[in-house]
Amino acid sequence: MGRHLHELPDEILHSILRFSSPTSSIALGQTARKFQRITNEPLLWRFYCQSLFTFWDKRHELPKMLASPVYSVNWKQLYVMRHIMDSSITQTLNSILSSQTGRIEKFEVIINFGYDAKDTLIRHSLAINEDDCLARSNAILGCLHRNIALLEWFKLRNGGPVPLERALGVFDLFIPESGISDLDDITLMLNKIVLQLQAEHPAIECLTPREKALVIASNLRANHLTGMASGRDYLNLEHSFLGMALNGPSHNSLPLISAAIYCYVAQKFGLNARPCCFPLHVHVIITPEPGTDLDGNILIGDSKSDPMYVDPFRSSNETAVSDLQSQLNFLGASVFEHSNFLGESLTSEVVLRCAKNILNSTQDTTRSSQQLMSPNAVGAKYAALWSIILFASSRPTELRQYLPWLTELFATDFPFDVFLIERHALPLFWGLVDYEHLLETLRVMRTVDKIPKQVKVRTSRQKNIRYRVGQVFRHRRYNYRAIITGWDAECSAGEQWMMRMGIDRLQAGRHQSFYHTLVEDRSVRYVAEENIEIVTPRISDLPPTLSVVAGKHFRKWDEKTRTFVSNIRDEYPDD
Amino acid sequence: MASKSQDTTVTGDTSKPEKKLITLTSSDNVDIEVEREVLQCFSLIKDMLDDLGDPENGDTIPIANVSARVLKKVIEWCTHHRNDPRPSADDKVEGRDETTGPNTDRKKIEISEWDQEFLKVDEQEMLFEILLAANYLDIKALLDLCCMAVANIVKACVTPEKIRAKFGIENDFTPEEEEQIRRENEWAEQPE
Repeated sequence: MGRHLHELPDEILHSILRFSSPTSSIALGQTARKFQRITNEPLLWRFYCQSLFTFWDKRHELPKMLASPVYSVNWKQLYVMRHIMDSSITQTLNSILSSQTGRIEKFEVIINFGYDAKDTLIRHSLAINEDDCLARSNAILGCLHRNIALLEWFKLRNGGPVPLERALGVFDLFIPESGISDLDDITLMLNKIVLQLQAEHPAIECLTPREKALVIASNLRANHLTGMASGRDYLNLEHSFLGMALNGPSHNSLPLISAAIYCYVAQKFGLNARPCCFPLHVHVIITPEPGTDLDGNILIGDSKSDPMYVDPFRSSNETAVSDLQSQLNFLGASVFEHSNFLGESLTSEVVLRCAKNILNSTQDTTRSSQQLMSPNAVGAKYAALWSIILFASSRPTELRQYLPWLTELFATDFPFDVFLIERHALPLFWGLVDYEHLLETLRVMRTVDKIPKQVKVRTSRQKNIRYRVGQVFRHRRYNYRAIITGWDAECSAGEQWMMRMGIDRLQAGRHQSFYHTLVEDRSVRYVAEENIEIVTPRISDLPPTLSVVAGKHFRKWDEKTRTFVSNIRDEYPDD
Repeated sequence: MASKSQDTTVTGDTSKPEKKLITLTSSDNVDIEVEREVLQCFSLIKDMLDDLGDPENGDTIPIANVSARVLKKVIEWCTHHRNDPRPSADDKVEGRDETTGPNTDRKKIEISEWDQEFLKVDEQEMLFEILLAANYLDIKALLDLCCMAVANIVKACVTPEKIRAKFGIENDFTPEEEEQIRRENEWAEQPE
């Protein structure tokens, strides 16, 4: 017995299929009836689903499906759906990479697959052996995360139940380097803290609310989970990100983030703790349960008891309300404002405040331009502007003040987010003059995106164009480094620009080749040939920002020629 | 059975430096001597020895389902792998538990060069016999290795026709059934 494949016991055949692949299981299933039956086992397809795909869109309700009996779910169908989706995303991605035309729509197609697209995108971005690894970098993955992030904020905006830690975690999703790619990661990290605290204080449930509040405050501080190590730069960007604070080795955070961590933990131990947006320094307010006070006494009649205040950033003691009141008086707050500043804040208010903190950090003039131009800072600023647009919309003046900033940043750094702006931002401006402007901008961007690039061939007439797309140079006068991304046989900018820039004062004037360039500070410049001094650095000598933005135009770095390999041959076929 | 295990209280004393030999008798009645340490791989026999103690002098352990030819191969494999880290009881549970998360380790396992040589058996039948022996003797790592080897053969065939030819499978579908199944599975025909 057992000398042939079809004589092996079923459980062994299942083992074999698990080591095999879905497509070879399908092929085997087509050989004979017995194998048709064996390869249709739901357990096998559940195994494939789980082992081959890590990320699942919420709409599948995967945890619920995993908990239900295996036969009640059509796992094979689910697998087939993901398989087809994967091929389709790969196809779209390849088409994005092969042509500069129609990228906006193609991005949208991929993002519309939702979180299911993530496995495929990650696989492609990790394919470092492919000859276009630079181009495959995480541009679309970032867009996918932003879409998920914005949906969460939109839910909050529409009054949906979004917990504070998720609403703040959205900021992290805008920053690829945060290491947070899923809001659930943040909840998991916070739950770990709760479990650890529980283990260190097994009797915590027996304490009165006030005692609990103080135990939590001192425990979090002792474990350096709230507050900031002394000597830290207060405005350092990462202090404003919940995920980065939780993830980072020393957990430094601003008062607002410390308060959010505190509130999550305190709520898990049954306290009604909420951030309180006190001016300049977020505190936590803990309100007693109706009918009791914070010392565990039952109240008689309709009497109310006072809340308590904690400042988890700074101290493990209770903050006396009189201290807070005198600070408010010092700041000149009116009695009406007192109750506002000392009350619980809405989640959207906390988000808005966090956004302002981030903007303060990104506009801090003491920082080097390198820091401010890092992908982290740009993503942070973008997130902050988005949240202001979404949550300040009851104040049209503020809304209109920030719109140009958002539009500018989006157009230069996130041009493929057009549909995100259309979906999430545009509707907020309905009825304002800005609506038509924004609509027009978006329409122009989409139209331009659809027009095939004018092909620029090198003919004998253009022999005078010395440099090629992908070369790195140093500007002879301004000394910055940049990559060439395009050229014109002579200056083709408008007359006004030439006047302003003094083009005719150049040695060779306007009748020399001009180059489109991508500069290390992420800006885009138009440079005369005489100002270009080609350099041949190693990739490690170039600033990382340059390699990140290079992915837009280039396939990869070629160490042999010390140049970037063009991915815009549809426009410059000879370069 | 209980009384016997009481008689032989030396069971736990397996750490003796000298190599103790134990004799197995194959299904075709051939006696094969194996170092006791190598038998630790054979979960079936190990459990038996742990329960009952080593056999008395002159006694052999019958292996009813495995021929001498196959048993020798299995012992060869276990001898080579005697020092591999053994899966703990926890690992075993996880490996078999269908409800835990994605078991991605499986894909990453690569067949070592020695194992590849070992699996170069003349006939497919021998591979299946080793596989079944590993299953019977409960040698998880060898069973996985054989399953992986069979899976690789299936993978390399790609089409149903080639799989049939390779494994001598008889097509018992009606042409209509075959066509219908082919159509249902068209999605799998593109490369993954």
